[in-house]
Amino acid sequence: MSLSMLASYPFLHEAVEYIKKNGPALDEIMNEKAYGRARTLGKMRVKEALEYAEIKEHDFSTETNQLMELLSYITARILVSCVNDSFLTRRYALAESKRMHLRLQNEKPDFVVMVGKEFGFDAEKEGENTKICFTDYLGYSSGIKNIEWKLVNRKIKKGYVILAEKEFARLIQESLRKRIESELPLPVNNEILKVFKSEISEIKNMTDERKKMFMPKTLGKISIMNFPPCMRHLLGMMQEGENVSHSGRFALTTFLHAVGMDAEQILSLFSSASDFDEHKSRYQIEHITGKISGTEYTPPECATMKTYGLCINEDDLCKMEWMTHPLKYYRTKGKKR
Amino acid sequence: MDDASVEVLQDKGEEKVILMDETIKFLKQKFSEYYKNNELIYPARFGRREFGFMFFDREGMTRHIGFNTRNEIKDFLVKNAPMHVYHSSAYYEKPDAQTMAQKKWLGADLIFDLDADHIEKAKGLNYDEMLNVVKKETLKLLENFILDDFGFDEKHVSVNFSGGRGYHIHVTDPKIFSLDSSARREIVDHVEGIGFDTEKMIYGRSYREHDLDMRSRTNVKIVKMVDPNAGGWEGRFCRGMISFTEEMEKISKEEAIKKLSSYIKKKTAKKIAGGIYEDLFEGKTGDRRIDKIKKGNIDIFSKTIHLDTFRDIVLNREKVTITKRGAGAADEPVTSDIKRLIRMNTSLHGKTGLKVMQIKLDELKKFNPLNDAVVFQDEPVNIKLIKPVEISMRKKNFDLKKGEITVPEFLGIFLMGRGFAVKE
Repeated sequence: MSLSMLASYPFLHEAVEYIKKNGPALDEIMNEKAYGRARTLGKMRVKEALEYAEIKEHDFSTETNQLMELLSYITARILVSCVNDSFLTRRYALAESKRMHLRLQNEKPDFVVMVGKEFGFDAEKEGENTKICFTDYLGYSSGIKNIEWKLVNRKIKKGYVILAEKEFARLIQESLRKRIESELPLPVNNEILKVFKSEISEIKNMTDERKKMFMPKTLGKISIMNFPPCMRHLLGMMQEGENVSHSGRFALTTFLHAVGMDAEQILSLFSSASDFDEHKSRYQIEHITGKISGTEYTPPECATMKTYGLCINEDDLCKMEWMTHPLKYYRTKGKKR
Repeated sequence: MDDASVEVLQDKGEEKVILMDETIKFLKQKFSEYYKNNELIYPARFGRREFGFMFFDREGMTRHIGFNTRNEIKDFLVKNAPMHVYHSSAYYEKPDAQTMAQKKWLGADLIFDLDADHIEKAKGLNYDEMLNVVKKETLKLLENFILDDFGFDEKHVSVNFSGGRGYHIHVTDPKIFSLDSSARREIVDHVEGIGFDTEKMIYGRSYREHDLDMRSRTNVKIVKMVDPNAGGWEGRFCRGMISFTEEMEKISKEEAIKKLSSYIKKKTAKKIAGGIYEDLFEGKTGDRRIDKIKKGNIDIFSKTIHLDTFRDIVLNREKVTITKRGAGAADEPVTSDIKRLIRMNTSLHGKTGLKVMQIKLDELKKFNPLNDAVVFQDEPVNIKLIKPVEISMRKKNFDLKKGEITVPEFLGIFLMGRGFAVKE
């Protein structure tokens, strides 16, 4: 495989073997002037991942640049390991896997099948499509939150799932994401921490900044008008005294808690139900809101709501491609007003 | 208790007796003899599995037990004569460790638990009928899903009678060992048709505003449907949709139109319903337009509103009904639990005295638990029955009166286990 291919797909075992055979050694990458570009690019990889959840294309034109690109993957992984923050690891894994996905789209089908093998997919071409064992499919598809990725919505034949070329590439993306998440952090020693001291603190700060942006913002005054249809439906059922499934109660309680209600307020909302049992309800609510269990549960996302048959009366906002979570709906609706 | 394949034979509203010492002593002795005198079948990789037991004379469950040899298991069973015997579907590095973290999970079989308790159609039936309904569901799950959709090889699939009110399917294909709980939940969702997206069942553009004349557009395919012979849920839903439609022809035309109009919220509901009915069923059998739908051609409606309404009925309004027809039964908590305990093959069910046993796939249809899973003999035993019982066991009919009676041992044990009788 050419160096430029290895630089494009640095996670392949061929890439690891290439460096083992041709060098440089880790301490050379870390210390030698010649590899300064690999270190800079490595830092950029991590920073771009944090900022945009993607990794940009860099100059690939010369062999030297290709080697630096390949080595920057190693540096990036070391930096992520040094910071050792699960938020950063997840975001980095996402960015790397997205980049691979983008690149795979311009590759020949055979190459995609070969990359799939790296992740244990025993894929076979079937005309325009690719077929893989459904158990391999399940190993990764459950991480993709779109309803069309549920097994029930897939063409399945005697244990094989039939995927379009593009979909198979998406599944490989998920495999790489999971692999990076499980591989990192790598063990790092004091010497590494010392060499990358300034880079580490820079990335750490950036990570903290980013994390703050993802923190739930206060939702302001609670407005039932802004509730997504599923939650309005559940609340309606609850207040009418209809039988709401356990998963339904869980979803509603976590949602109400997330939009800022405390256990007392939730309890009073539920109390109009005809079968209201204060003692039992209080226990359940306090468990879910963390008063008893110490864990504050978060509401399920749209895909999970669908799985449990709780996604009801979808409206236009629900149907937006980016709409993945009942809380997202609530915030979006709040902004519009 | 949430360890469940721990089925309990619930007889709601029925009188029950608390087992007395004599009864317990008798049952224990009989169970011990069974374990001593019979060849048992131990689960594959038993050394990596956790075992759990419930006893006649103790509350609760004893679990986290591991065994190194087959003889150890046998000795334990002979000595303790447990009421129920379970092993984990999972394999662990240390099966006898107390916590899951210490056990170190290595993988697990895939289990489906079909029990009368969880099967809607089995509610309110007697033991015999109930077992038949569960058997039907087991066959459906096996044929349509486990062997067809999932394509598991028969050598990796075994079906056990549970000794109680159902069947367990064990899939031991190494490909599934490492699947986590959410992947297994996807398998359950697939079996039950949960989350199935019907939108793409009928696709393509609908007719244009002004309807074209039927004849002039015979060659213009505008709207299409999924092939009813397609594999997986696509074909399954399609076939369900067709049989749902065909049923409308079985009732009278008036009734069918009334039913169809009930879906339509328009003043012209009746007219639309009549139009749909005629579009579908007019003409000779084999030549009606419903017959075209059966072959995968949905482009048969004379008006846009007919197609749109039909589509709304089958894909949205009756989605659940149609899905249910094709769906299999799977008990979600059992299948998605990767640490579940399940009854051991060849062990005895303490509430019936019947044997948990593997049934060859081609013998499942004619399997009769009240004959084939009976292990005890017909020596007479004196019992006190607390209510009259009518039952057929070992191909003999028994019509038993309340009070002190003498019955064959196998029946006595069954009745004592179920709590209908005590030892005299």
